[in-house]
Amino acid sequence: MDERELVDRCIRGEAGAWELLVDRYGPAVHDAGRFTLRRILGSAQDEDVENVYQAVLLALCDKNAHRLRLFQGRSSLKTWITSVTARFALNYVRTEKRKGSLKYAALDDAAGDLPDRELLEGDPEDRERLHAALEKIPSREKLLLKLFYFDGLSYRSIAELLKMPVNSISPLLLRAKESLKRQLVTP
Amino acid sequence: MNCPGSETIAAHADGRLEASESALLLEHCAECDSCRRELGILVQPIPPGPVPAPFRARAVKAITRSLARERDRSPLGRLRLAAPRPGGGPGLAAAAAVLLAVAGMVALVLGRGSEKPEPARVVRQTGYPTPPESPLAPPGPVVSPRLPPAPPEREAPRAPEPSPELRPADPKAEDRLVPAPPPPPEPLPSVPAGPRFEETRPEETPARPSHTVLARTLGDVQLTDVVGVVTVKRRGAKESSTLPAVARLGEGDVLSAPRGASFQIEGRHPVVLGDATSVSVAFSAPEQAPWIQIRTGEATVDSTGPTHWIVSDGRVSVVIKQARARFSTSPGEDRLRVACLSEPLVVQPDGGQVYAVHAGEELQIGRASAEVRPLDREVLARKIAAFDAARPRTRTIFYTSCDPVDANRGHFFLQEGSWFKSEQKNEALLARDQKDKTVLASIAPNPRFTWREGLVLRFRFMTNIRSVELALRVDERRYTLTKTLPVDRRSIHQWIPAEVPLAFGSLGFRRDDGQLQLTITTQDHFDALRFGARQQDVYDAQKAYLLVDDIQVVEKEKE
Repeated sequence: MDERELVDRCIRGEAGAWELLVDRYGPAVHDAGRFTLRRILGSAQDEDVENVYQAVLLALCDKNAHRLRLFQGRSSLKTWITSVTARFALNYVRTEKRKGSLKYAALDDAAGDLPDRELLEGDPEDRERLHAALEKIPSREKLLLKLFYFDGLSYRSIAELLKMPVNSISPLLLRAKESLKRQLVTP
Repeated sequence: MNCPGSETIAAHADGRLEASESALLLEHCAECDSCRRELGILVQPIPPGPVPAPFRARAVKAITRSLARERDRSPLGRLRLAAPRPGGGPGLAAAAAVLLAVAGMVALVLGRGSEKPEPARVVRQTGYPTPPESPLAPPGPVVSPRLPPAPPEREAPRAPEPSPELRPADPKAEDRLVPAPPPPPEPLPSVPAGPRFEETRPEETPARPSHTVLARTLGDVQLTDVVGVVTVKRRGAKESSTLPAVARLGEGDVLSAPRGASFQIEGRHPVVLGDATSVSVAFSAPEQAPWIQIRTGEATVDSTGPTHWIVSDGRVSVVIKQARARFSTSPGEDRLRVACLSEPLVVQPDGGQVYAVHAGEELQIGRASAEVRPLDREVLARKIAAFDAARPRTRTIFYTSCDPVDANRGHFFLQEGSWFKSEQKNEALLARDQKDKTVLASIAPNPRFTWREGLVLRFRFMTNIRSVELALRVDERRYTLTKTLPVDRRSIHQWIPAEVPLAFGSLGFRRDDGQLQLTITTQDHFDALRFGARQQDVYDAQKAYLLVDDIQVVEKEKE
């Protein structure tokens, strides 16, 4: 059964098709949920991973599969589901943080693993100046800096995202830093 | 800012987006943190790992339930569900299910007009009803093979003779009535004779819809502010007991009031029981609505919020939609009565048409018909007076019995502490040891409640520490109201009821900025209720602990 057929059968509410979907794409949901939580929080509790895993699968199915109906086949089903999961997990972190129910036990241990935090922390005035300067540089450079420093993506991942060769990222990043520096010294 | 959908982001990650569209997306990502992060996740190598088996099992279960709910919503699906009646064994329930399914299909085909075949030709023989979890047959006009003559004894009742031609009436019906599975290997003990086929065939299209009591998944419901004498006979219990001020009830528990009594459902909907009234209350999961079964007498419900209600007399049941109104209900002679005392009600008998019932009108619902009748003015006045006399005079603003069920239903968020299960199977909130040598339990009520005059906080606690501090935190204005409750040595290891008026005279406060003046306003939301104690204050050299249970904030009605 190909992707489209599976989606169509799920939309028709066939329980067997849903089970197949959970078997084929559940692992992607699970991995993406865990990965996203780890990226944002530094660690992922099993409970949170399951919350995301179950909520995403259920959201696809609920209300007569209205979420799954949004899938039009412009990407592969796996990438789409991963994308939906990532978005859901990001929202989950935001709402759970508000409720105060997420645990940050391992956050400090994992901090070394995370993006350059000096840019995010430090003096609030400096931070404000930095963000103001970021607004003034070209959007491509801004994106590059945010991906590298805020999100902590590797050169390889950035290259993948921008659809560019890996070896062009380093000079681009250098140039972006130069223009940011110019903005900072000459306000 | 309009964010692109997940599919656009996924298509870019897959390299399937047009260059111009990709450029637009990247430009958006430079500004939008959440889209950038989402795309960032997609382009990174995600380490694969196994999905724990319980995760998968629970997800599949949840999906199956969701699919079943969806089917129940479709009109045809409703007919499939017949409630097992008390006293009716599984055989009878199955018989009812088959009977209804058959009747439903007949009705369906009859309703189609032009393609109306002989009713006899659309009746399908079925074995036993398939469980809803079973993978469903693919849709489409599947012509099932001619069935061999059935073995003499079957689990489910059947038509007296196999019909000559078996055709599905509708692809959807096919989904529900899967072709008969092979007969059970050994003959089962015979069951009481099922309905005869002739009985299931209506002579003509029924003028009124047939009201079928839907099978509902019923959960527990919380009762608070009990006023007057109400006894409860728990399911399976031999004797009745008096209902405490706060209780959780489910299907099968029967409440009885010899004379006028009242309580609130879910802390916000007052319900008044008339003289010699007996009801059951529960919470219907599919509709997320309180469910009331009226057995004798009369119950008046003041629905104060936009919620559905399910009212049943055991034979028929109705859904009262999104009511913010007062209505009373009583079982008549084989008719359920629902009278409207204030704003109009929208009432739908299960499987039937929708009725609007205005103030001063009564809907009488029988098995196969329903009608709206005006109420006598005196009767109406009497009903309203009876309600006013007996209704609760306090209002519960916030209540929790401090167990995971409440937390899962979003009554509150657990911020600190864990669940403790006592011998009485009653769960309580156990304070957790903190690094600063204190124990702390903290919950955030949802929705948060604001301060106002006349609020009283009630709870009970058990500890072995000399004094317990109650703190109510207001984040926005950065202050904490506090109250210290001393614990007598003789009352350690026992439940101690506490009642704290949330008024200036009885509370202390701490401001984050250290100032010594404070004005409380009615805009101040309480973000957290904390119960803490210092470990060093423990009596004897034991491990310090603090249990908190049944937290309730009530507002007393002003005279």
